Amino acid sequence: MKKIFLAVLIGTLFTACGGKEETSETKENDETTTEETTENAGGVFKGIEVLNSIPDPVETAALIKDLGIRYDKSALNDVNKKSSYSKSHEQALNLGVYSADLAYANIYSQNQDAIDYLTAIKEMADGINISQYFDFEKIKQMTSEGTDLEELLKVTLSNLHQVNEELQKEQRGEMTVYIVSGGWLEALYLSCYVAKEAQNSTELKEYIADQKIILAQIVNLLSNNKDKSTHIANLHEQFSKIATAYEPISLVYGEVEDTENKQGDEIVVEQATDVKLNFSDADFNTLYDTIVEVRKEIIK
Amino acid sequence: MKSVTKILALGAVFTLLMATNVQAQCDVSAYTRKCVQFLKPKGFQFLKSYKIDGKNGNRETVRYSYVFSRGTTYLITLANAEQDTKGVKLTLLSPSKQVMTSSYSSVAKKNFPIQLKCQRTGIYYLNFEFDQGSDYCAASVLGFKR
Repeated sequence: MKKIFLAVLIGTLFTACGGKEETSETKENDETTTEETTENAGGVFKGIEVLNSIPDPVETAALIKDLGIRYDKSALNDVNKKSSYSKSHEQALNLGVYSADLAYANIYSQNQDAIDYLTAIKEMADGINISQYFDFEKIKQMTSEGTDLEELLKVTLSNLHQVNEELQKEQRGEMTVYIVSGGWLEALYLSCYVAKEAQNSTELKEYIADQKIILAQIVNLLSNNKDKSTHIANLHEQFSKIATAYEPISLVYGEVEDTENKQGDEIVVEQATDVKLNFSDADFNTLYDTIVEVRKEIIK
Repeated sequence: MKSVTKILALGAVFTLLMATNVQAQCDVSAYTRKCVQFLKPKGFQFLKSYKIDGKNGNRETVRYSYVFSRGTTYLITLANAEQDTKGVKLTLLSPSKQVMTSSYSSVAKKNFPIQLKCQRTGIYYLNFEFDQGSDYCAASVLGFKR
């Protein structure tokens, strides 16, 4: 039950902080209207809705576990550092980092570690004044009582949808950028960390190579908004270093064939494609070193 | 007496308008729970929930995007106040914004959850469209499994 609850919380954290939906009145002018919606969302951050499409760190954690790699707590950011993050941008970035660590600890059923990371997340959330959207005490109580999943979902989901909207209304879109960026970077770090052990894991290397797509989205968002604050400009500079390290790396896709079937009560779409991975050991080492360096700046 | 009747009538209209306005709020918590219930028996883990608010008909479509990853299977469920989720449908678009599939079956005249066995990482689009005259309020939940 704890595992499910934490997965829901993590997912909801990122969902809630992930930006506005893209909306359109008609199909014909959806591009224009999407842009207008972003402006209307009250966020001073141009294109912030891209954060909504960033994958949740729980997916990375699931992949790592799926590969049979053992749990390694030493890879995670130390929860005892939480008190040293006093500035709001540090707290938001490390809220993201701790959320990814929580996802990792949780998927390996390391309940005490998961609770420690939940506590750290609460402290970060308090720091940036978003803890009102997380009823941590009630959630903890419900978890210990083994409350039905539906009820847990009601508690966690009902309020947390408001977080992004409220941050946008308060012109605090910058916080969502830090939270999502921090979470994504930590998940990338963890996947690279374990890839060093699982040298022959093609699946993991493909996954890491594909993160280039997401990095491009984040770097673009940071680039378009780097004049908003020195912290965003600094984050842009740091993430650009990772983008440079990614340059020789790619997963090249052939033509994708989609096959649609009706299976039971679902419509199932299966994809098939060939891929070519360009990712040498030297490229990996450069990428890993760069990620470690950038992460060090964030969790220091 | 006439003016009293007029005031009462205006009051009634005002109350009705207010009540209509309250009813028109899009509260998706029950729909989200309905979607979530569908995931676990099929072995999917919750990932995200989406509020699909047509703003009382002012929005015909609501679009979200998400990066689906190679090697992961996703399940997208949809729910509203209707038994068969009538009044809204989901169209899944590829990274190149080509239509991949729709949740609505014109044969069965109902919506079905969409499962995507992803082999190409990219930004995919979830396009929700309301029928005219629907209640313009629905929820969708995205689940995943490896």
